[in-house]
Amino acid sequence: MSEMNRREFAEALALAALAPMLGTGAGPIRWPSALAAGAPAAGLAAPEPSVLAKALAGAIRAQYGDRLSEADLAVVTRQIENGLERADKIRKATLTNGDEPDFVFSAIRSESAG
Amino acid sequence: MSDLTWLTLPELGRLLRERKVSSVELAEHFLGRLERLGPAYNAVVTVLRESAIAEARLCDADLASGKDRGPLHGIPYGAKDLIAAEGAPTTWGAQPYRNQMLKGDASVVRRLREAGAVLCAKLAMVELAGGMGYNQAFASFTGPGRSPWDTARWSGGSSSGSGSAVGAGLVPFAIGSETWGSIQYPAAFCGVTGLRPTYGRVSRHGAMALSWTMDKLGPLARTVEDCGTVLAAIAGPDPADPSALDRRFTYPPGAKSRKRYRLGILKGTLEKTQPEVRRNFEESLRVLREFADVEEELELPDYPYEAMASIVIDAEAASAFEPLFESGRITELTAPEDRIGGYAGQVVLAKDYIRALRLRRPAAAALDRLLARVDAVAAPTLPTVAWPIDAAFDKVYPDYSGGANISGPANLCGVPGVFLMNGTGEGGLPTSLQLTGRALGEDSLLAIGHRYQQRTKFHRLLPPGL
Repeated sequence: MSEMNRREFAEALALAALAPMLGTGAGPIRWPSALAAGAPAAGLAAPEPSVLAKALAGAIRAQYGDRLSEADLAVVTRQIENGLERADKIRKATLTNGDEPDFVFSAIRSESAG
Repeated sequence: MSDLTWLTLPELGRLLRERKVSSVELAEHFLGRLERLGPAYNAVVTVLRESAIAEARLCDADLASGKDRGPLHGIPYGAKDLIAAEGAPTTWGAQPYRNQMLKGDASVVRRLREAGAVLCAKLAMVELAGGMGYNQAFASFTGPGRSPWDTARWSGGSSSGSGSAVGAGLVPFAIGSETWGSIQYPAAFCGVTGLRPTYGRVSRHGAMALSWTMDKLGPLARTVEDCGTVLAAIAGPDPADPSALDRRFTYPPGAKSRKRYRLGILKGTLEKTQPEVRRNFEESLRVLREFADVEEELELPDYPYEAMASIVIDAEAASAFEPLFESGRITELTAPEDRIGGYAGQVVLAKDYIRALRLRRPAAAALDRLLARVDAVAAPTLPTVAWPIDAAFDKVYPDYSGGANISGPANLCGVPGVFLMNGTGEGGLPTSLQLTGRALGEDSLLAIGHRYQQRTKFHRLLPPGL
């Protein structure tokens, strides 16, 4: 194909905004549960983004608003909302204070630094 | 000389050592195919004719003087264009980086050169390795990657050219990368063998970062044996990559392969797969049962793998590509959705990113406990054959979205996988079998895959017309 036309692109963006795993990268793995979780029932409008999603979208508007249209920002807001929903999912798992992240870091003592 | 195109690495090595072909002749053969046929698959970014011939001459001189650098000596290959090679552009598949010249070779290129392999081409890829959330095949300035089995079908991504170049016989092997399915998809859609190594097995130094904690480099080739041979050349510690493991990998392994193996099948793994995919997987199991006991109904530990992976990739990609956002050149990307798909990652909360990293440790430990019960978990690599090239990904094959899937947890937790063709399905397109194992468990996966390929001929099937 040459490229999606505007209508197809708009549809793709709308779907992307509704699908939690789209908007993240690499291979195009489709997770049915994730797709289903983000999609409203047929005929229903997408729910209003949360106050936090709108606030974070405001940060995007402040930094990059000059190059994003209102339609773009609406998509970005939905994607932010989806990200927050994913964060809610991982917050349900229990962690203790001692559960550390796996950072790769070690203190550096360079031989050449004296 | 009969056609060199489809020979395996040991077969090519034998011809070289018997002086039936020279390294320069091999390079000329594959350079010609890359130049002639590469455009049909949008597989190639840069053909490196001059440097490849120079490297091949050196290989011939070395062999003539008795210096044999091993099983890759004199063998041509291609590298995904996110891997730096001095003197060639490294475009990351993205228009803003089309003229990017990086200093020095990636560690994987240096290691392959030391092993005698001849870099013939930088291969096409999805822009920024798919990090901006592409939803269509047309997501690279080189055009949509096309499968050698049907150019109206997608080659898979993001290692698009690495899959199609091997599948079309443009190179004997290629290096790809996987963060979230990017070796898996091209291996399956192009009907080749792919290996996603354990995270840290292969140095990432000199390769574009999408996600520092999830990126893996690995080979795509004709056979499992070829993949093992390449992994042995590229694996090992590297001071330039702090995540590179302090472990060597040898292939073939020193220890004799076992008589019987243990395989696991996830409960629900065949749900929502195309009938031919199901049929071919069940036939693969019949073959595997000849040398393996199968434990069915395994269940993945209950973690929100995709949510964790998404947060990790989004946050790390937002930082890795911050200059692209700051410069505004993100608007030059090919796929419209990629031009705005990364902004949400810019505002992932730090506490959420760190929580995902913290949760990955217990998730990886739980996954390891499951994988320790078996030598490999077997599954269809994908629930369908290659997707039509003009379809939006979220609309293609809606009835076949797949069942229980180990690929996401495996990528998040950094465990290895092997992908190999196991038949043909709809439209005569390849279907594929995946084997997933414990961290550092490549030996078992390769041994099982090799035995499977000894008993079957799917890895010898050629795309129509080639």
